[in-house]
Amino acid sequence: MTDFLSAIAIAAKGLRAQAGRMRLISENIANADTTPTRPGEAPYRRKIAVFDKRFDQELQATAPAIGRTRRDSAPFPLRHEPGHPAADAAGNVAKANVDLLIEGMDMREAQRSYEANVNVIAATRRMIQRTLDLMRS
Amino acid sequence: MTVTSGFNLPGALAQRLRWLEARQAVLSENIANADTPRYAPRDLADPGRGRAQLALDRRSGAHLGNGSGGRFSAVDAARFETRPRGSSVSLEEEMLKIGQVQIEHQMLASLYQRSIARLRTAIGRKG
Repeated sequence: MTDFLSAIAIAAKGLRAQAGRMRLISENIANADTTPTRPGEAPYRRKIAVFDKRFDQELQATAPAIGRTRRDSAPFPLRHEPGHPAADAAGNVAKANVDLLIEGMDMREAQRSYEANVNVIAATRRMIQRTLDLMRS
Repeated sequence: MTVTSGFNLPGALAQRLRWLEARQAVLSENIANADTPRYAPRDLADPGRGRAQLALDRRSGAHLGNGSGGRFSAVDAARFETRPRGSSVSLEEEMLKIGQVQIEHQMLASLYQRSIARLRTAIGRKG
């Protein structure tokens, strides 16, 4: 039964990692329109969730974990808006380097992986139940 | 040939159930790491394939047996697809394997129950 329990524990680690990734994605989407308030200031820089491959001594298995959050190094797109308080001398405003399409797809992928982990937990639980039923008969 | 010297059915079933349990843990590790870069999925080698049913005669505890040592060794699974993130776990494939494990577990658990019931009948108890 210990293998079943560790299967559930590993899937739970996967859930936690995917949930952390979804949190970063939602932060990116929420800040997609965050612009600087003064000229020369940088707008919001997109955050990227990086999964670390860590060997869990307790579970004796590789468990994913969200590592240190990385920032997207892509340049900020410029938009010509001379009236904006943060516009530079040329009248351009730097926008956050968040692409909503990419974030949406990333969210889908995280959701799909999350569901797969939930299914693993459900399947393992059913098997544990079946094993416990053996004792009853 | 007596009944007990023959094929030990409940023992073999229990062994197979243990294998399924260990495989479930390995598969869940694959799914949890589906988005981990450079993670290579693993699977358990099927102990039922290509192994002799006869046990080696062991005269000393230091001899290696060919029977079940308890632990099953994990092997690198065949990879059909590499995901863009660099991990080569295919979620569909892993879910398929989880389904197989579940079906086989269900079947073996029923067989186990039946074989125990048959033993009960043999010793003259009802139910």
